[in-house]
Amino acid sequence: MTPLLEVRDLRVSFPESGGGTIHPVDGVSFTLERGRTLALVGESGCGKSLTGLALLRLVPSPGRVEASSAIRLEGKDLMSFDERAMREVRGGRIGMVFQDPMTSLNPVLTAGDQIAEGVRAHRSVSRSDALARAEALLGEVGIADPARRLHEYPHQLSGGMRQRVMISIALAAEPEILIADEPTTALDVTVQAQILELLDRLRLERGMAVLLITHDLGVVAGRADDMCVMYAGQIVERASTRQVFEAPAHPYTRGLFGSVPTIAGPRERLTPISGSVPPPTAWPGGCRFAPRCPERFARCDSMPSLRGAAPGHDARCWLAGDEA
Amino acid sequence: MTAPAGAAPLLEVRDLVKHYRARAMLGRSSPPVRAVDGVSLTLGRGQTLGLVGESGCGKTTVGRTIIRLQEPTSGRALLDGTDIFALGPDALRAFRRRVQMIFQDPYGSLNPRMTVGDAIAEGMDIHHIGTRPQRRGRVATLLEEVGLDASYASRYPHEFSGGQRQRIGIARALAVEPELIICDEPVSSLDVSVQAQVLNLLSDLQRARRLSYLFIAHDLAVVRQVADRIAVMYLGRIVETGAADRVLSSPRHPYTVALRSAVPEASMAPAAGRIVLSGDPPSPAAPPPGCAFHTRCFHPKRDERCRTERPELRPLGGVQVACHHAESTP
Amino acid sequence: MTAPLVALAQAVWKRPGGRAGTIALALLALLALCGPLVLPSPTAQGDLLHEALLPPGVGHLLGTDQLSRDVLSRIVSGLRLSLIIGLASAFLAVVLGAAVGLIAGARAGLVDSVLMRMVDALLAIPRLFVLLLVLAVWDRVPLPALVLLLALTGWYGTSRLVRAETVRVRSEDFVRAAEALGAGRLRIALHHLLPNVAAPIIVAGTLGVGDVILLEAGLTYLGLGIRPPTPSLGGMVLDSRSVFVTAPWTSIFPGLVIVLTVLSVNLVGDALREALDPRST
Repeated sequence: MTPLLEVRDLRVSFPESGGGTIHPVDGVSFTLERGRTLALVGESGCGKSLTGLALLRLVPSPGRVEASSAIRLEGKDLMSFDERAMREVRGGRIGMVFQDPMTSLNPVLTAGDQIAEGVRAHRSVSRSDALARAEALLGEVGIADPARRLHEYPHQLSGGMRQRVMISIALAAEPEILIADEPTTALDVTVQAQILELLDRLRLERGMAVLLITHDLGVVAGRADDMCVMYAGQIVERASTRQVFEAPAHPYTRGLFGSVPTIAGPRERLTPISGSVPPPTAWPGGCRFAPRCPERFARCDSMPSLRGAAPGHDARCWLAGDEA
Repeated sequence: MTAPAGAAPLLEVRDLVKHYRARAMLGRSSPPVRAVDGVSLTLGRGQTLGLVGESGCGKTTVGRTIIRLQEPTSGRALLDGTDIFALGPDALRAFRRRVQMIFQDPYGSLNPRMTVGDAIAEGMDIHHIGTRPQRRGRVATLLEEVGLDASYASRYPHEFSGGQRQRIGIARALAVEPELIICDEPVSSLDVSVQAQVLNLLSDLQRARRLSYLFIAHDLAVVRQVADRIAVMYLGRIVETGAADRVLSSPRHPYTVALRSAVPEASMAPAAGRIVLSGDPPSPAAPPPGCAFHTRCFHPKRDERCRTERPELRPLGGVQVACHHAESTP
Repeated sequence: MTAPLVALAQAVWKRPGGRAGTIALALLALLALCGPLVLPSPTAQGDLLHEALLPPGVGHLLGTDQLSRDVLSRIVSGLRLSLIIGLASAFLAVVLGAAVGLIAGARAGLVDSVLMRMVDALLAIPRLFVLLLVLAVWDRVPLPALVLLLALTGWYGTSRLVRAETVRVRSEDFVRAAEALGAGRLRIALHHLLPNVAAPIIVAGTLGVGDVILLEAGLTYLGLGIRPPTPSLGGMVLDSRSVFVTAPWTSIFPGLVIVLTVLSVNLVGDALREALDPRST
C-alpha cells in the first residue's frame, strides 16, 4: 500500500551570516500512513518544526527547501508544484496546527470568521454556508455552545478552546494529513489530555495521518504509533513507538529517557546528557552526537548512516546493528 | 531528606490571602481576583515542598508574597518563628539574605546590560559582604559550583543558553547564603536534557548547603523528582498536601486524581483509566461557591454540601485533604 | 560598560547610512574646529567696492557677501554656533526628559499620573509658538538663554518614550530578582532601569540635535534668536535674500550646510536606532 506521504532526503538550507549555508534539516526521510500517527521527537533546535513547515513549503525566507528533497503526496512530488497548486495542498490536503494558539490566531477576527476563511479557501461556498460548517466543526472539536463561540474573539476564549479553534481551522477543508506542531505545549496538563484525546478521535473518525511534532516523550508514548527522534537536523532513530521505548537503540534516545522524570516507579537520580546541543554552525564532521556521547569511539569521526538495529528499527549509530 | 520529627519548621504559612482589586470603571467595582484564597503550608529545614497546580491557581503569587515582592491581603508567614509580614525596613533587608528566589524565564531574569559577574555579586554588594577582591573570588567559586567556567564572569547574558542562564540565576541566589530558596518554575522553559541537569544541580546544592526549597511547578513528574512533600493548589486554595509518594500513589482529592492521571507517562505500560476533566477552570475573579472544584468534579458522592460549604484541609490517612468526601475518592 | 559602546559604534559603522552620516559629521566637526585657524576672519570686511559679492574662486573658496566677508569663514563660524547650540540643548533636553520619564515610570501611581499629565499639557502648547513669543519679546537673547529655552521646550517627547520603556523594563524578572536581593529604589533605577532604557534616550538625543539646528536656523532667518554681527547659518540666508538672484552662493551654501548637517545627524540617529533595536542582533 503506497504511503500517503513519503518524504525522502528533505533538506532545508539557510544562509549563514558569515557567508556559508547551514542545513537545519539535513536529509530527513520518513513516511506517513493513513490512520496512523507518526511522532517527530526532539529538543529545541533539532529541526523538527522546520521539517513540518517544509512539508507545506512554508519555510520562512531566507531559508529554502533544497530541490534535491522529495515530498511525495500519493506519489506526486510537492517540490514540483507551483505556488497555486501548493495553496490547494495547504489546508486542503495537509492541515497544520501550531503551538501557541494566542499568536497563531488573528486577534481581530472572530473564531467563526477564521474557520470560515479556511473553508472558503478551498471550496466556493457562501459565507453563511461556511459559517454553518464552522459551527459544525466547533461542535465536532468538543466546544460547548458552538453557536455562541462562533462570534467570539480569541481573547475571549481559554487556551484549550483556542487550540480547539486552531484544530477546526486546520480541519476546515477536510485534509488527509494533519501536522500538529507542539499542539499542547502551551496548555495546562489537564487541558493537554483533552486536546490529545480529541486529536486521536478525529484521526480515527476521518482516517487521517497525523504528524505529531513534540519534545514530550510522555505525549509520544500514549499517542503515536511510530516515532522518529531528531538531533541536529537528522533523524537518529526511527521505529514503532513500542520498539523505541522498550529498547532505544541510539545513545541520544537513551540519554533522553534518562533525563525525563517519571511519575511512577522508583525515584532515581536523573542521568542527563552532558553538554548542550551544538548550533548548526558548530556541527562536527562525523556523528553530531559524538561530542556528548558516553559510548563514542574512533569510528564516530565519520558520519553513520541510518542502520538497522532490529527489524523495522533504524538508528544512526555505528554501534547499532550487526557490525560495530 | 526529612527533618527530625518535632523540629520546628523553617517556614510556616497560615491562611495566606492575596486579592487583587480590579479597577473601578464608571463607579461600578468589579469583584476582586482571588489569586490566593487562604493557603497554609509548612516547610522543614533541608526539605523540599513542591507546590503544584495549573496556570492561574495562584502558586506563583504564593511564592512572591512569601518573599515580599508583593504584599499579602491577609495571613501570616513565619520564618523560623519571625513574622515575615511584620518586618520593618532594616529587618526586611536582613530577611532578604535568608530567603532567595529563582525565576522561570531564563531570558528575562538576567539584566542584559550587566555582566554575569556583576549580577552574581550584586547581592554581596547590597549587603556589604566582603571586600571587592573577595567578592570576585566568591563569584568565581559560585560559578564553578553551578557547573560553569569562572571566566564567564566578564561575559554578558546573551552569550549563554537557557540552561546556563538558569545556572547563573542560581549562583546569584546563592551568593547571599540563603537558607530558603523559592524556585518559581525553574525548569519549565528548559529542554528535557537541560532540565535534568538543572534538577540534579538543585539536588546537589541542597545536600551540600542544607537548603530548603519551595518548589513551584505545574509538572507533577518534575515535582515528584525533587519534592519530599507536595501541596496541590486549585483556584487559590490548597486541596491536598502530604508526603510526595503518598499524594502521588494514592491521591485523596478528586483534582489530584485528575491531575495525576493527566500526566503523560513516558512508558508503554497501559495507562490506568485516564480521567479527562470536562470544561475549563473557572476564573479566579469568580470562584464557584462552596468547594472551588465542584463544577468539574467527578466524585460520585458530589452533593449539595459541595456547592455550598467550602471544605477545609483535614487530616486523612497521613495526608491533609480539603474535600467533603475524601474518604471515598475513587 | 565600554564593550557595548564599542559594539554599538561598530554596528553604526556597518550600516551605509550610519557610515555616511558619521563621516559627514566628522568632516563638518573638523571644519568647524580647524576652519578658523586657516580661513580669513568671518567679520573682516574687505574693500567694499571691489571685494563684495565675489563669486567662489581663489582666495574666497565660496565667495564673499555684500559686506565682502568671506562666505566660507562665516559658514564655518555659523556652523560652530549651530553645532554648539544643537548639542548643548539636545543634551539638556534629553537629560531632563529622561529624568522625568524614568521617575514617572519607576514610581508609578500618583507621581506617574501627575508627571505625565503635566507633560501632556506641555505637549499641547506648540513649541514654535512659545519660542516665537519669547524671542520676539526678548531682544538680543544671550546664547546660554537660547540654549536653555530650546531645551526646556524640547524634552516632552523623550519623557514619554522613556516612561514607556521604563514601565516595560520594570516588569521584567531581573528587576524582581534585584528587589529580592534587597536592592533599594535608587539602585534599581540606576543599575537596572536606566541602562536598559538607554536605547530610546540615545536615539532621541541624536535626533534632537538635528531638530534644534533646524529650529535655530529657522528662528534666526525670521530675525529672532542670534542677531548680527554674530555669524549664523540662518542669519546668512536671511541677509542674502536681496541678492539671491545675482549672488546665489551667499544663500545656497549656508542653506546646504544646514541641510547636510541635519541630514548627517539624522542618518546617524537612524543607524543608532536600528542598531539598538533588540530584534537586530
